[in-house]
Amino acid sequence: MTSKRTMTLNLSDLEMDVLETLATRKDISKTGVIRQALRLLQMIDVRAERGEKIYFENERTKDKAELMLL
Amino acid sequence: MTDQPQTMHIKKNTTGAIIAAEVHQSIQDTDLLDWQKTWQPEVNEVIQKLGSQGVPSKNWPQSFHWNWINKVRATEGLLGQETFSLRAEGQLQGLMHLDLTKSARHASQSGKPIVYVEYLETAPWNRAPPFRGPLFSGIGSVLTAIAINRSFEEEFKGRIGLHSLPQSEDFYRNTVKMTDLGNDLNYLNLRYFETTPEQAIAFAERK
Repeated sequence: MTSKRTMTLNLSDLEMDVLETLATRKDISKTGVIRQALRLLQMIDVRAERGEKIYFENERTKDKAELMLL
Repeated sequence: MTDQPQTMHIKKNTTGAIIAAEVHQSIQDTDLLDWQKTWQPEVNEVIQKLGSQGVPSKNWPQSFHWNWINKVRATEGLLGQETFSLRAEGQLQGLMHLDLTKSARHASQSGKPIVYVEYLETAPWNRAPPFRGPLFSGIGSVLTAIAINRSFEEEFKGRIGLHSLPQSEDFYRNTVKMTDLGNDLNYLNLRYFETTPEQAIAFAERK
């Protein structure tokens, strides 16, 4: 985590609104949200590549829905 | 955390001296070799002894089956997974694996990102009987402080979370002073602990 590189990110108004909402809800900066998103997307991608499936479970009803990754 | 090792301090119990320890981000092959050659024989010896004495397995050291080679291999290349080793006096004294992709459960922090301590283990000679230690004290505190520090660095405000083995609950509850959120039926029924930002600051500033 020593060297860091800078990039410019062009987002639509809606994308920026979502990013700002997430930053507020997660109590981190917009850069922090992007960094978390990268970690999660990489993890999902690696596990899906291994043939694993990803589910969302409703805690109350225990209904499960598979997250389809194309 | 940088690529350079961070100098922290632990106590050498035989002399009472406070000595320097180096915390390295990412567990290297040399650490894994040391784990295999120095930790494993002592752990296996204790397990064999307890087995021959008829001690029920629920009273054995609860991390005895952890395989750090498999754990480290499974994290390689993943941005959300970090590993740490702590070395002092030329020996591997502690290991830790952190997950940066999880969220807080504490009601006041719900959904906010945390540093989750997946595994934290100290060398067998740093553990109380039936092991021969502790020869050094403070390994768990130093590694917990590193986890909290990583949480601050990632803007997570010091929030960390973990599932504790029963033998370590007292440490997390009374030394780190984390909030005990009770047994987790979805995770081996282990108790789940978290720090709020205030608890993390208090631990980081402790004397």
